[in-house]
Amino acid sequence: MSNLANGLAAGKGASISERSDIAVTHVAARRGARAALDDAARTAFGTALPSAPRVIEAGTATIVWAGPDQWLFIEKAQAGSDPSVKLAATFQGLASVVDVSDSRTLFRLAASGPSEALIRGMGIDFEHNSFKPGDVAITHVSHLGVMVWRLPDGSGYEFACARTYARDFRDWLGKV
Amino acid sequence: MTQSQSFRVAGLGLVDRAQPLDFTFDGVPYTGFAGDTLASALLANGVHLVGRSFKYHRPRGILTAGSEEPNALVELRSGARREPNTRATVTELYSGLDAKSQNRFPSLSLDLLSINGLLSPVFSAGFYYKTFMWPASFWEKLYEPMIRRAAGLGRAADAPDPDIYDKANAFCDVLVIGSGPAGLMAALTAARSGAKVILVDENFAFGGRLISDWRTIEGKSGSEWVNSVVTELASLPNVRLMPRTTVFGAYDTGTFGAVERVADHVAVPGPGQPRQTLWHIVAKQSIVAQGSMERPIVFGNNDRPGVMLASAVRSYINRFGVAPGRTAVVFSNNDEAANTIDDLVRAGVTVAALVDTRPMLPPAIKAKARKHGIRVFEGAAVTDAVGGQRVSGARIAAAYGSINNIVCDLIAVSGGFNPNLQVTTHLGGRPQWQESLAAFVPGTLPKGMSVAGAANGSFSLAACLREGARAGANAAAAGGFNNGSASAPAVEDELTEVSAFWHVDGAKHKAFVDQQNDVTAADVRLAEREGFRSVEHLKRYTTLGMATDQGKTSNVNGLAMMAELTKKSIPATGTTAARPPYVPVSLGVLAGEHRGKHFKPTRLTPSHDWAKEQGAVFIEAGLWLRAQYFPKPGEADWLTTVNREVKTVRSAVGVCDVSTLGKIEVHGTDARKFLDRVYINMMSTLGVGKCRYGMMLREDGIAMDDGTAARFADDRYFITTTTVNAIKVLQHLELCRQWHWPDLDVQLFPVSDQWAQYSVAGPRARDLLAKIVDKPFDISNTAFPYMACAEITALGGIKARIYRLSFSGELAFEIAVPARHGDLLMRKLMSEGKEFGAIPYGTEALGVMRIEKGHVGGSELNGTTTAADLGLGKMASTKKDFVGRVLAQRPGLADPDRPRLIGFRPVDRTARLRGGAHFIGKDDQPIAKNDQGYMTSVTYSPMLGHWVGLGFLARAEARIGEILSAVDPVRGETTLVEVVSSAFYDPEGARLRV
Amino acid sequence: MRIKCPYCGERGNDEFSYLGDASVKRPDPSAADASDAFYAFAYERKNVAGPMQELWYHAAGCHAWLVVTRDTRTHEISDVKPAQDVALEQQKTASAP
Ligand SMILES: [Zn+2]
Repeated sequence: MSNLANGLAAGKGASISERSDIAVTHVAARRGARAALDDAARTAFGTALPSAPRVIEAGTATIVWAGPDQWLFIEKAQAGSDPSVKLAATFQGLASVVDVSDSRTLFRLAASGPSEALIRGMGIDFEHNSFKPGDVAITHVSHLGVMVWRLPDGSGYEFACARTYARDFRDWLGKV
Repeated sequence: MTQSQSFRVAGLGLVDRAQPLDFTFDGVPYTGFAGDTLASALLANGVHLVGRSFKYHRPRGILTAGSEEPNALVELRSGARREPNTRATVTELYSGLDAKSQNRFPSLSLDLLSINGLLSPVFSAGFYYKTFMWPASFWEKLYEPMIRRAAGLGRAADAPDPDIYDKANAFCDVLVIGSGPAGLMAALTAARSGAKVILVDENFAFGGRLISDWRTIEGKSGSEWVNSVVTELASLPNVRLMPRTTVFGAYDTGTFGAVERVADHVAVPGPGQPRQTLWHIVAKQSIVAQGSMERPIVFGNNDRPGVMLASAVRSYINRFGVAPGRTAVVFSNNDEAANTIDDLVRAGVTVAALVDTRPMLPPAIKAKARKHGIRVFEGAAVTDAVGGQRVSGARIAAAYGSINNIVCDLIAVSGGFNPNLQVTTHLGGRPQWQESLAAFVPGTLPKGMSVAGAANGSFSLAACLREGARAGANAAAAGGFNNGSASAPAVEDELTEVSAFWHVDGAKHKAFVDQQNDVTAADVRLAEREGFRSVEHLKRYTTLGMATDQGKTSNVNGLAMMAELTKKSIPATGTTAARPPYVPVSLGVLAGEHRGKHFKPTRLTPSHDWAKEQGAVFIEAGLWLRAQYFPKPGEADWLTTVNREVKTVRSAVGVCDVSTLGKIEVHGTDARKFLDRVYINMMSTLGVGKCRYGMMLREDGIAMDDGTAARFADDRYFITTTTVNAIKVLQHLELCRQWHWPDLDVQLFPVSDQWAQYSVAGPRARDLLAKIVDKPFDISNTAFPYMACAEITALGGIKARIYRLSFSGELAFEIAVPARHGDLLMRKLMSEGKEFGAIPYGTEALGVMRIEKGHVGGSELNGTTTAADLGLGKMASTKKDFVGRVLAQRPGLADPDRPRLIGFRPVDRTARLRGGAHFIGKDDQPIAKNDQGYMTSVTYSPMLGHWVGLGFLARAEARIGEILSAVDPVRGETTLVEVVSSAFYDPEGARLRV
Repeated sequence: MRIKCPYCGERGNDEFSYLGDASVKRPDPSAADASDAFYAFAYERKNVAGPMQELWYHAAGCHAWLVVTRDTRTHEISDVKPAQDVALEQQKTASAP
């Protein structure tokens, strides 16, 4: 994957990096299977799946709310193993599972809080006390669709945008 | 006049005298101070004549000290940054400022076009309608150029704007608009309660009238009190202070548009600094505290430089330390005159007379005038200003009719105050007339909005502070912040009486109602006589209030005059609701960063870098940049290249990046049922490991999109859409899934960007792919026949998908790998394909081959055609319902005479065909009545050696062999064409099944 | 205008796209009068002055279709529900004895 962002520092001490070492799987609950899916997730990941726009760190996976009854599972990529295949087996009959590792580009912005420019640029209330650690939003900035979440430990933000919009989004992110 | 700042008054004003700033006006150098506006700096230098009027080219000066200014419009800066119609009254002075007067020829003091003033009968109200009713062609050739020359405002820059503009968002509990006494109290009270507060003011300094009038609060001067409040606000983390920011519009659900002039007060913005920022502010509660605007009284020559609103006179004295004249006449109908007199006297200006329209002045004011030796005229009026390019006197009609001429160079006029309520009317609120104030006050307010202070018609300082505090506390409380105290500092009460007075009778000269659009009292009377009596008619007929100032100083006067003429009350005559924007907003700031290369995002295909290395020519297709063709050295033109690409694909093998197709995973136990309902053909019967071409209709029976569906498991389909419809189709499918059939178990995943997908087409395609796909996968025709699909690995373990699909009509495959491997796959295909003569081909060759095969594309799926029109009627299943089925059967769409897709070739095989040409019987007149259809796609076919075309023709199938005219009126060409089958090349489809 | 998505929270209307009247439902295609019913479904609309149920799509957000109750005179939004929940509820009501 192209490393558009690596090595480029953002203003105010924040740094932006592209996450290139990960596998991303889109999981959507089958009709009527939500409760059973949560049980399966508890068994496999020790947690139910978030019902609101929140992100959960669950062992080796980061589970990001991605719409009603939908989630992104972000896991470290490992040669010879396909996390989406594993997830499909875990959630067999309870969820539909698709590998979207190449659909989206993820950027991490390491920052304990939002810069003034980031607050201005986001079309949602992004102030320190409004968009809290663990919060997720699906929105758009500067006509580019983006998913954003604040890392649960408060150490930064992650942005996921469609891969072919990543160049433009990176331009934008570099300015904020 | 050239003596530096001879009108600056020692000891007065808030400008920084330690910071002199040089500037030029019409090339003449002057000096002002930091804290000046261009207007105050010009006045400090005794410059009153600053422009020529719109229609009559009359000399104009500075009427106001704010954004309502109708006259003092200048061209600011030069070259690409030249900005016309800039109000000198709000232009912050900076070092090197370069301004020019506008609308004058050849110079400001000698304007030859002021002869328009003598021709004024021609230019009276309705002149556009009356004078120019002759043939329309006269308009373009004669009138418009003439009027453009004679009338008009400044000149826009003729080079691209070199500056950048930004957009920003802000969210708050309480938005306070305006930072006068009411706004500051509101912001302070709300902020102290803990609410998130944004305070905006269009001015570069906070304080409103508190820095323009001579006031005392809690023992401090107005400006000292302002500083203490602003200092406290600035120290609070929950407050955002936004000076130089104009809220130009109120929108639904607490949304406001505002422009921050970030760098308008410097010559050139700093590196990376935007010139202006467009703010989108979302506020749970808003408080309008924009004060009021003084209105002039309409009298003869009331537009002469030296006639100034009394409040502006006080601003120039108190805020800028500038005396706007040496000898003044004060002309008023209200008690503020007392303050005007005090300030003029303090600035050393001789007040020659106080002319009040009221028969009896309050004793306190009378006593004050007497103390200063000022002549008082009660029940009197200034009928005319005397003087040409500057006031030299006032003609006063006293109560009993006697005329007095008094020498002066300044007439400070006040006709009362209009609350600044524009923002309260943007969402449809109608202002209410309040007789005691002789003014409109805000009517019904949008949800969450309140109004405080002068904007509410509460003109006294005590009331402003009180109302501001209360509004601030209430707004905070509405957001759950209850610990604010609504107490306000107590100040002395003052006189605020006003007696309505609009215009003077007996003026000898033109009396202007709307100075920016040169609308006179006579124009209003003419409109009344000719029956244009409603406010809306008055406005259109005379153009009153239609200039860039939106009639801020003229609307109420015009309305009141019409009320008087029609003997109706003001509320019965009309009202003055405004629409956004409150002040002119530049197009640059509305566009923000979205211009040039940032106008839209650019999506690159996975093979882009490789294609660039090959010297591909790219074409924009929606947001995508796609390789159009791959020229080789020595190829004369694009046609040579495209012909070679087509011939190579049809004889060897070619590779084309088709990753731009929309891709959607359709999963779930009901995926099969769902796809049956959205495609016209059956998808549930598709076997696992098979693909099928499919078409979707809109519910009205018109074709929406086409693509393929591939089935990888019982509950797992993968469908493609056309490149342009990817988002539209997903939205449609989501509607079907969530709204039409919510009980179906279906999940949709947009995965357009996941896959790099290449079409590998040509007789050697299998040979090439055999070297790419991993063993033991067998791509032989028996194991992997036409319309098969499979999930495989390629290039040594890379997850891949392969489809036996053909758009070109050749033996062809589409192979897909995760996008990150797309570049590698393209390079491998090319290196491994060398031995088979593999080449890359672009969208142009793709298009040629699809027309040679008679496949439909975007020109055929054009939003007016049905499946039957496209020759695909038989595809529609009769065994099931699907979106669009019922309405596709209605008579209009099922009509067998509807134009159907068919092929065309020129009778003269060397002739060129044109897309868009219309088919006319070959002996018929080329008129609309004889229109039988139109050509949608044309191409030169390298395989056939002549042009071929697709088009729609009534009863097409029955007319094979018929000769028609293809008429292209745009290019003026008529070509004889023969109706032929649309399958131009390999009509049996033998080549793709091998 | 701002719309409170039941999933995402309040967002500006730039994130949504509008379809139209939510009170018209796709008719039964097997009914005898299907032709007329579909014609009405596709084309016939009331020009409502007042509260109206409308379909909006959270295009830039969670991709949920929503039934928004909006007063066409004031743009005031009194209710927003997921279209899927509304549709399921309607199915339940229709199939109830
Ligand atoms: Zn949403």
